[in-house]
Amino acid sequence: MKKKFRETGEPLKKTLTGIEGLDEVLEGGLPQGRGALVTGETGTGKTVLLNEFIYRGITRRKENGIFVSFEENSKEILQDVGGFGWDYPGLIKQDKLRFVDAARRGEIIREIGSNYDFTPLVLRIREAIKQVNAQRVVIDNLNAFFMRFRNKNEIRATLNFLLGELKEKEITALISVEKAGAETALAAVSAEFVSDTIIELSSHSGQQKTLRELEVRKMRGAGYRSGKVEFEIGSAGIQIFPKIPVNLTIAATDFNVRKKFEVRELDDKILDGGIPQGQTVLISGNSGTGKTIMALQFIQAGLKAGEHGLYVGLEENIEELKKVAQGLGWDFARDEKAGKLRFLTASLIDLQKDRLLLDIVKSTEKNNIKRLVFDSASSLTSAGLSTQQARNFVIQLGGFLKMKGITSVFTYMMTQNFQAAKGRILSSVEMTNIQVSSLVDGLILLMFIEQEQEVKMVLNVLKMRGVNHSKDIYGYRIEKGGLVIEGKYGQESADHGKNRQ
Amino acid sequence: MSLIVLKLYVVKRLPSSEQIIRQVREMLKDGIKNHYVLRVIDVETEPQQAEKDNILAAPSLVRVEPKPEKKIIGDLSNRTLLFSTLGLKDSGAEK
Repeated sequence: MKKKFRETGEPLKKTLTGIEGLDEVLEGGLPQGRGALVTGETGTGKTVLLNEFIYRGITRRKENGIFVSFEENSKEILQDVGGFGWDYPGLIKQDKLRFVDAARRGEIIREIGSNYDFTPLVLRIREAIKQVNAQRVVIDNLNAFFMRFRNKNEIRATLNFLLGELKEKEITALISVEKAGAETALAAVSAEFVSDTIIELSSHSGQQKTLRELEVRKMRGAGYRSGKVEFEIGSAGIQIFPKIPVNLTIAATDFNVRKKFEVRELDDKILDGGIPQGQTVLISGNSGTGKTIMALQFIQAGLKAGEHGLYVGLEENIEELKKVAQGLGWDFARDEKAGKLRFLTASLIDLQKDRLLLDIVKSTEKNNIKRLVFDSASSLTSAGLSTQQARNFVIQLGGFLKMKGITSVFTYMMTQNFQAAKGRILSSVEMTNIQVSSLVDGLILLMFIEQEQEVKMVLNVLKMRGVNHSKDIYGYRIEKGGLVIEGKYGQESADHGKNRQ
Repeated sequence: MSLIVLKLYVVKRLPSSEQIIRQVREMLKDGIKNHYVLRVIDVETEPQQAEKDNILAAPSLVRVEPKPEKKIIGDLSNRTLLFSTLGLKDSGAEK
């Protein structure tokens, strides 16, 4: 009893797969010496993942492998991976890789009775393992094996025998199974030989490309789900985009360090010194109110203070943006060249949110970013993300920035009009669809209002966590040099209006 | 008539293999006289052969020549089924 308890209580030793992004998702790799299942419908990339496991094992982890294929023959597989530039023939020559070609070759096979066993298969696998001293085995796929023979009991017995042998030799196996047959296949193998980790692949067509997702699930234990991550099958194999590391309990915010816009009235009067370091502020407003310009001014002020900036744009054309900045007197091209400013874009069509997050994380780390602009949070939903996905994105990114003490400004385009009558400007303000206002530390509203036959722009700081900010509404305009605060709305001198360019 | 090449894959360690080999030999000798070659392969000593012929199960009887390849797995004692599956004319049965 005691011994048994100790055995089951021992944490499983994990082995790194070496596949880009997968080890993070698996939290350290696959349980060593166990079989893990890869499931998914046809065409979701199961075979590619198995090949990655073998190839990265050999090339990155110095672990040789064998490929047991019931589906494609080795020639076809060689062709498949040749496109990735992987030299399988060379690896075979160097005794690092072996195939057990168990796919049908179009020969006629007849099975009579059930008096047979799979000793030849077991011995072929054993022989291949011996030849290359393999530490990894992949089997592609179980359904093809199950469908090929009528004696299912013998198949089950063989699988368990094989997996038991692999466990004994501490060989890690990755086994693919069609989604439809996953339950049957899993039921066929003994729990002591397979880990309860299942990697599920799925794909759907985007507008221009196939969008792929990978999910690590636990088969046993109260329906645990780790969430889906995106992956791509590119020209060099699989790339998985794990969720960015966010520890929401860590915050490198500092209320004593304030980040300014370099707009004196805004910084000192309205924001009581600026945005606290590490906070995320949403600038929300209608189209044309200057959200992007205000955000860029925040970056520009940072550059002047020697802080590196990152602009993440989903809709703006970066070259045009630089021209706009040039017009305002900010030489972004020079700062970019000097490595102080970075621009990051992502296509709104078929937006890959996990990839974008990872790119942002990498860029902030590589370039020592202190200020970040995300333009705009509202494009997330127009890029096809659900409200929940967009919210999660903002939570993740905001959490990461907070953890790193990076101060950020997110823009948000409001689609409603504020044809507000005097005295009730804010009554129609509803933070729209994705309700990001509750996720951010600060909220600045930019609005158009009608005044004496003329449309004016006003701003109001609705909230700014930990800051004794002004609750008043201020008029503003945009000119060379950026934002100019004109004073409290309704109390400005007539001069301000006349000075407008 | 071209030569028929057959391979019989068995696990010789198993006691039943002896009877299987004997039965197959007798049937073939009786059915196709000396127009064939039969090679008996013990998968435990020659797993590379099993790899070459893509044998998964034993016992398996394979008609290697003439092409196309034909395989029969499991119970090799039913003479009619054995000959028809392998596409061979059983001259013994016509007597």
